[in-house]
Formats: sequence, C-alpha cells, structure tokens
Amino acid sequence: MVDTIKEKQERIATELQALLSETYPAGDFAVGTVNYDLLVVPASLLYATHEFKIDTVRDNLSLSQVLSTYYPDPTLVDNLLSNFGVVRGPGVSSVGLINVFTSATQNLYIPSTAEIECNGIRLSPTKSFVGVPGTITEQDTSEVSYLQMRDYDALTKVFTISAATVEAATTVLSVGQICTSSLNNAQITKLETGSTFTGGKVEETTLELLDRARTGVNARVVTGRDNIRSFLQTQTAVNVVDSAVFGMGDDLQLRDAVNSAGISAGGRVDVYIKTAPVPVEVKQLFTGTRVSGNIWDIEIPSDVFPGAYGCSRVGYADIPLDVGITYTLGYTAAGPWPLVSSALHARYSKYQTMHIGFETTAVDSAVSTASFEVTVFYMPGVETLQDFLNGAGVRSHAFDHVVKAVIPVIVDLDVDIEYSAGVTPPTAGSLRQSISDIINLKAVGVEALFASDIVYATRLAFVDSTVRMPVNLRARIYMPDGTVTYTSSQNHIKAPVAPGISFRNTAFFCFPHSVNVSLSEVS
Amino acid sequence: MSSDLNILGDPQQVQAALRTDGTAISGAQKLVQRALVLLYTDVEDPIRLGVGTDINRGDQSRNVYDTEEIRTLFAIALGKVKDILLVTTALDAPDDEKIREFQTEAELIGRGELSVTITVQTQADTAFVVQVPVTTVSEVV
Repeated sequence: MVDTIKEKQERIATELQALLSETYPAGDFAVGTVNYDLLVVPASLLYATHEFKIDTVRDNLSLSQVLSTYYPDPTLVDNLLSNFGVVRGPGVSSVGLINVFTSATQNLYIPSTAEIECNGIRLSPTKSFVGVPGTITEQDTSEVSYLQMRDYDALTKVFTISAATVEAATTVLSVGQICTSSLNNAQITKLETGSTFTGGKVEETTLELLDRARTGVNARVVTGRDNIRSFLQTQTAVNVVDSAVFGMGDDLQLRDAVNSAGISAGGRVDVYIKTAPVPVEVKQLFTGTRVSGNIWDIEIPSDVFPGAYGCSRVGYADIPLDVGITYTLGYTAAGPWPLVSSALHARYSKYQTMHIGFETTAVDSAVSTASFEVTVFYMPGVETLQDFLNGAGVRSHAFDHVVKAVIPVIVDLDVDIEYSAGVTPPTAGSLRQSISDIINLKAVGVEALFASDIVYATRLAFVDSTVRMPVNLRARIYMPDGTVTYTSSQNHIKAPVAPGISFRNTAFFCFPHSVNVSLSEVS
Repeated sequence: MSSDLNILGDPQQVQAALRTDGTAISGAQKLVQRALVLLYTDVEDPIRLGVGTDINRGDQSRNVYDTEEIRTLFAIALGKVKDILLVTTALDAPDDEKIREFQTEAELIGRGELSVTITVQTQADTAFVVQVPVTTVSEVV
C-alpha cells in the first residue's frame, strides 16, 4: 500500500529537520519554532505533494502496475490505455416512448426543451413534436415530427413522442407510469410512458475500464471468449451490459456438429448478449390473417424485431384478448456463414422468423384480415451486433458467430413486508423499483434466483423491515423451441435444462410492475 | 546555544521582543515564542502534523464563559504545550530554553474583554510574563 500524503509529509519533515540541524548547528528546528514552521512545514508539504504525484504517474504509466493500483488516476489511465486502443465506454441515455393525452382541438406543440419527470427521473423529448388533430400525412425530420393524434375516448386524443433520460442512466421505467412536465398546458390531460425506458448505461468507471483492459488489450479482431466479451463492450453502437460465449465442444453450441458424421467442426460460436436491464416491450399494430375458423396468424417481422422472444399480450380494438399464443419459428438461411440450418439454430438471432397463432371470436367472422395490437418482447441490438461481428475488418475467417439475445427468465413475485409501529415505510413503488433493480443487475449465467435475494433487496431499500416468509417466485421462460415454460417456487428459480438452454445462457429479468408488495404494520 | 527567528515584534509583547542580536532570539524569549506558536496552532491543522491545541475552538458546547472558565481553558491548552515542548526540546539545550511550568491568571478588563497573564517558568528558574488579550468573548461575567 502506498503512503498517504500525510505519511510522506511526516517522513520528509523529519528528514529535513535532521538535515537542517546538521547543516546549521546554531539554528533550532524543533517543533513549534519559527524556523520549523516557516521552513520545514511548507517544504515538506511541497515535497510530499510532488512525491505523491510522481508515485501516481509511475504507477499509472506501467500497464502491469496500473492494473493492481489502488488509486488509478482517470486521466492517466485513459492516456495509457489509448496506446492500446482501449477507450472508456461512454455513458448512454435510456430512451423510450411517452404517450401524450390531450383534449386539444388544435395542433399541440411539445418543444424539445420540455422537461418531463417520471419516478424522479428527468426526461426530455428527442426532438420537437407536433400533435395534429386533423388528418395529415405524418412528417418526420431530424428537428421536428408532425404526428397524427388518435382518438382515445370521446374527449381525449393521444399521440406518442420519443424521449430520452437527461443523464446517462441504467434506470428502467416500465410502461404506463405517470409523468409530470414543465409544459404547464391545461390541454394536456395526462402524460404516461408508452414503452420501457431502457438501453442506457452510466459512463464506465476507471476500475471497470482497467478490468476490461486485462482482456481487451489485444488484437482488433475477435478471438477468445474474454476477448469477444470485451470487444463487444468496447463498441459504442449498442450498450452491451453482459454477454456469454459458447463455442466448440459446449452442450449449448447446437450448430457445432451438424455434418453427416456428427463430428464437431469447430469455429462455431454463439454469443448471448444482454443489452438492456430488461427486455423492451413495444405495442404495435399488426395485420393478422384468418387461417381457418377463428384461428389467426400474424407475422412478427424479423427486420423490425430481430431475435424477438415472443409476444406478451394481444389486443383487438383496444381490448386485450385472453388467448393462448402458439409460436411458429423459422429461419433465414444465411449463406456460407454463419451456418444456420434450423429454427433452433436461429432462435433469438437476427436469422429467426416468427409467426404467432391464436384463436379468438372477437373479430367479425366475415372479415379475413384484421389489425391487432401486439406487445412484442425483444432484446435490442441483436442485429447491430451481428452485423458488427460480420464486418469484414472484424470477422476472423476461422470463426462463425451468431449473436443471440440472452434467454429470458421473467420473474414476478409476491413479498410480504412487515415493519414496527412508528416506522415510516417507503412507498410500495420505490420498493418495487429496488427489488426489480437488484434482479435486473444480475449478470448472464447466474445459477439461480433465491428468495434470499429478494429479502436482501428489501432490506437494502427499507432497513427497518422484516420479510415474512415465504416469498412466492414465479417465472416464465421463452424456450429455444418456441414454447413458454412456467415455473414457480418459494425457494429458488432456476432455468430449465433442455437443448440449447441452461442457466449459463439465461438471465433473470423483472419488471417493477411484476413485484407485488404488501406492507403491513405490526405492533 | 541554538537560536530561532524572532517573530514577536508586537509592541505589546515587550519582553519577548527584547532581542539582543537583531533577528534571532534565544533563551527564555525563544521558549516563550515557541510556546505561543504551539498554543495558537490548531490541533487539527492539516499540515502541521497534529501538534497544537484546541484553544481557538474553546468549549464548543457553548459560547458564554466566565473569567475562571477562560483561565481553565488556557491552563488545559498550556498543559498540552508543555508536553510537546518537553518531548521536542533537545537534551543539550540550555536550561532557560526548557520549560518547567506555566501559570495562568485571568482578569476582567472590560465588558467582553479579558487579559490572560501567562507566566513561563524555565528550568533555569527564570520567569517570563506574557499578557494575552482575549476579546470578543460574549457576555463574560
């Protein structure tokens, strides 16, 4: 451990005192003398500061030293690592949609300078928006968008703008949360989030940067597992929170031995990525086709939702339908590489195609096509990262990478929290947020989610609380074969083992609205 | 005998300023000067290595004192100064640069104004008297 400035100063002061006493025997340099206060103290302070800076520079200019130093200097670390092409990951704002409900009968302007606040998080529109009540052709430029208002009910219309968090943040906002704004316009009756806000991250800290440098100081093409993970985190187009890599000889690598002899050919690599704290849910209108009877089919376009997990809800005419969804998965053959030769190989990647089927009597039996509101559920960035790894300057000819969204285990849970009389509990909303944050912060490949994790998260958010056992944990898992598996436990949740899935390529996710908190005061 | 710079040129510190050799002082004057420097150095001064007293802070629980309380604060602080002086004075220093004892007296000389008299006794059995004014103490009785 390096000396602190104080320790250095004390040592130097003693040395100077001895030196001066020896050189000038007639002078008194004891503590409290003017000689001591005017000469020894300022000089020792100056020398100690210089020595400390020199130590810092020396530690930070050597790659092996800086990786084990306690106090890395951010500027020096940036300078040093830039020699090796390793740069600090910048912070990114989370983005999402906001629904504006209005009683306006004329154009409603939302300037880009508007300040919107939701759950204490400050948001601002990504550009200026104009909601137009009369029928128009929607226009979209980089500065301003003219949007068609849709009827919400007899008095209210609604249109949707996009917004980003003001500060770089990883915080997740879920759908349907009420926002306040600085607009002060009586015609705006309500603002609420229209999609998950996600995709942000805070700027990489110096220690995280150094941790990455251990594996990132390397060639600029992808090679080993650590290198691929580090490399994906370096690129700035997509915010890669975590990733897991499976190659030759691994049970989870299904494309490895597809030749007639069943022999592993090597070189095939599946990269499972987590690019957001929770998957993004987006509600969109899709045209469904009647297949036969009351059975409908909808194609989820793979260019808009590459690697989509599935659909969480289907609605017709603004009414949610209570239907069971069947997924029909297919694949787009990609050519010589990457080798994708079955729907299982393509699952969660940009090469996947998806149709959903369901049965409903809500639509008039004479109609053969109808618009349904489908809430699609996906991990952003799958296509961008696949294209990045396919890039001519990046791709190694010995490898064949398929980027897949990490397999989601979506958790919802019930927790009973007790507290003593006289203690003021936090709101249920903030407890929900904290509990879901703890689950969403977990990396890819966590073996199980335990009830004790929930107890820990609760105690973190509310110190004076007791969690009444049991905690009910439920999860749904979007399986590689296109089915959805449900599981529940009062002890722990673990990903099932089946072809193409184990805990190693799954991640736990939890939306704040899926946490049921009951707070009770005990005396 | 080793000497130190003289900084106590204030006319009120007449005795301490009785220098014999221009800018350097020695003997009892030097001892008094060191004692005053240490007395008024704050104990938590970040660059002075922890030597000093808390006389500048007073008793932080209140800001009204009577004369005897002020004298006691000085006596306690000077006790610490004595400890520092005893361990930091060279063994071969002349006796009149070594501290034997401090004595303090306090006298009310006006509303909110005190005179504290510090008598410095050296190990050569000489004594040196310094008067320290203490003002702006609110409501000294």
